[in-house]
Amino acid sequence: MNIINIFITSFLIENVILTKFLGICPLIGSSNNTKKALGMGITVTIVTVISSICLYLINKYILIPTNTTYLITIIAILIIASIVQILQMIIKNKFKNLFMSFGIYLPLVTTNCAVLGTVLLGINNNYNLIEFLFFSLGSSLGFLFILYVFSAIRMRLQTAKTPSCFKNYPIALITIAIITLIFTRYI
Amino acid sequence: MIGIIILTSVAFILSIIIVFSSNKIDFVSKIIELLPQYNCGRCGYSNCEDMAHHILENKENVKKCPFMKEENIEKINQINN
Repeated sequence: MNIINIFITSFLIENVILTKFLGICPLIGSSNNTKKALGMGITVTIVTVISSICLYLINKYILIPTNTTYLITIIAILIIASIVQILQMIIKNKFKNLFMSFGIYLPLVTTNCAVLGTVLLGINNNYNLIEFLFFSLGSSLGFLFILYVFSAIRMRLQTAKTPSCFKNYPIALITIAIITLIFTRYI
Repeated sequence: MIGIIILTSVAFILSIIIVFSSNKIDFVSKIIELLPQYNCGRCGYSNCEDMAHHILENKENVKKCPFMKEENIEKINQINN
């Protein structure tokens, strides 16, 4: 029961993008096409889940016994960067078109604050391994869900009549603000 | 002191994992190194990187490049296998 609670909370109620405002850069940058958004969301999901498991094990078995928990941020960055490197090689060799369409945004998953924020928040909340797994899975799937919805809206917006001063990024930011209001039930 | 030791050892292990996996996975970069790097387009693809992806899909595509040396063709065939 607790696990389902954590999953739903991190997926919708405390969504990474809508309530914590993490990962806005890939949200704006890679959401002009639904396929690209789906690829980016799946990449972020894989990176978050693997790095959270690695970081939990390192934190529990190396950092806490030696009393060096202040190293958690830099080790998190190291782990995320190396996982992104490996994933980049796999995508480059197996999914060539996806690699071309990502461009600079694939190496930028390293500095994606949605990944780092999820991992560090999970460590701070003192979850056990299963809870932590569901927390990171819920957060990253929430990111994927909002990215996909937002990219579908943006594809529709490209054909809509917008005033010239609102074209591209301003209307995208206004749209994400309205989605936030809907999902955080202020309307 | 113990912090430095832990950080360097974690970084060392991660770098070993990356090098090991790049040898296992990253065939495209290896093939690009063996191509002539002229980016002339005589093979019918836009550049040497594009050509490398197509060689991975089908071995016969190596013969489309007029500037390939015999020894490099053998090396690419070894990578493909």
